[in-house]
Amino acid sequence: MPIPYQVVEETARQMYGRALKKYPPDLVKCLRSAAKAETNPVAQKHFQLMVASIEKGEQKDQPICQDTGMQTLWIKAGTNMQFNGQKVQDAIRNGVRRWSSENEYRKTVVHPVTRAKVGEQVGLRHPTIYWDFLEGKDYLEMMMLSKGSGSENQGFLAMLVPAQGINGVKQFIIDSVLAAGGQFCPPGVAGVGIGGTFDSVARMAKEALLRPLDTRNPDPKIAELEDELLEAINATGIGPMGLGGKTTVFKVNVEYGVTHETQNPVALNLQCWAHRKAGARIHSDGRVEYIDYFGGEAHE
Amino acid sequence: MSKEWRLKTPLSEEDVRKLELLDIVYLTGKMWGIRDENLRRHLDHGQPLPEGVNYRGYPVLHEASGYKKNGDEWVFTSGMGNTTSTRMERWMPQIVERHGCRAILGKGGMLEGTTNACKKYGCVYLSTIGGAASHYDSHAKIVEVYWPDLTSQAILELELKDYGPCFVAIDAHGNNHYFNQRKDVETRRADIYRKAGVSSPSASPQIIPIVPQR
Repeated sequence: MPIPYQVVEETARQMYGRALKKYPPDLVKCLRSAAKAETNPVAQKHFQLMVASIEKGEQKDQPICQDTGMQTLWIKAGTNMQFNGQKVQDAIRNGVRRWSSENEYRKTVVHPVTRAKVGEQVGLRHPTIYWDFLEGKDYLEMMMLSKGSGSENQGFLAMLVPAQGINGVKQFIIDSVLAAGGQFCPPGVAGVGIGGTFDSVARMAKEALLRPLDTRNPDPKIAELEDELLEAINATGIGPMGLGGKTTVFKVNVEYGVTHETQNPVALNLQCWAHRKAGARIHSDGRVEYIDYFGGEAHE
Repeated sequence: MSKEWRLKTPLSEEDVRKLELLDIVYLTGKMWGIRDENLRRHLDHGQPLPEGVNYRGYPVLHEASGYKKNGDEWVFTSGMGNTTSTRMERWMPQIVERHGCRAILGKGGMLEGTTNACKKYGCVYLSTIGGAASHYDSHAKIVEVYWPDLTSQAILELELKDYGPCFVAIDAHGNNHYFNQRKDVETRRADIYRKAGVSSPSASPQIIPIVPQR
């Protein structure tokens, strides 16, 4: 039985709204524990207001941040499912477009040269949709990241060379965080990609933001790198909104891929504290469950 | 220790000269919402500000919002928050000098030009918490929208009630909290690298350009 495309559209529509209004539980946990650890009174005041703002957003049924972002979607499709991929993509785009226009949100999408407003939240090559597969499953999982511009503008990529080694990679990440300062609405999450190619390293850095914040990379060497970078980044003291404090990022998530023997690519995609993500699992019978990460526990 | 101030707009020069770095301010009264495209139209393309728009003595917010008209009233849809101020650095010294605004609100900080203009003409930069639109916009209402053809890039006339907390991050005496922080980081840079196991950081940028060494 092919997947019901109406359900995909409706789920994408709902997911966009959920990403904007419902805060991921792993980030709320981080926010609360960072608040507890903080001794700087100005930073403490920031944490109090961030928590209050999440509650207020829920009360008012309004997005936490007014920037409804640019959407990136990842689809993992079970190999035992039947579907027309084009129809799934169309349904997702339609769902995003509908949520934005029905709610009369700020239309943020423009032509890159003329800067003219497109007039809706979808357009040429947007939203970005990535495909992957789940062996032997009869369901489809989707994750959506709706990143605001303050953090997306703090994205960095370098095609380093092997001579610069892993030290060069680490230094590039630290230098980039220092360049970003308070502009990405810290404290947030650092998504890092290492290896691959020019395009895939950027994708890895963004995909790293989907991983739950209480996990480490399964490769112990990479997990150690995550810990080291976290300590170094927080030692900058950039703190909440760049005004100073102990926590600049809650977590560094690193994803990697093999690369060419003559290449050493690295990318950093910073994410703000208002980490807007949402996910869903759609079964072939049309049943929908919401998830917080790929393979995550279903709720509602 | 930060002092807390509750100020009514318009602000006098004295109001802002007395503010110190990291003081916390709550604002009541009129404020203007400005950003990229309306600054570009006025300052790059030379179009005079619409009649009724006058920043003199008032705070201006680097604003970001989603709103609509509901009968006679403007209401927020996706809310109203701040946006990254560094994007507006190119224009802000002129807004301070020519238009006499007394406070710039936004996030992420501003650079030398604005810091100097603040000192010379009596203005401060106030950092507000990004992403906390649902808190801040409970303290603000849209009174009027100017240049509505710019949609989310229009100029907004706002009425505030206890809008805050706003943290003084550039004062009217040439002090820039972000620059101070950065100077402090420079003294600790080697330690920071060491924490990530980088023992011999390279002095040069990471990208190797094909140019002769100077």
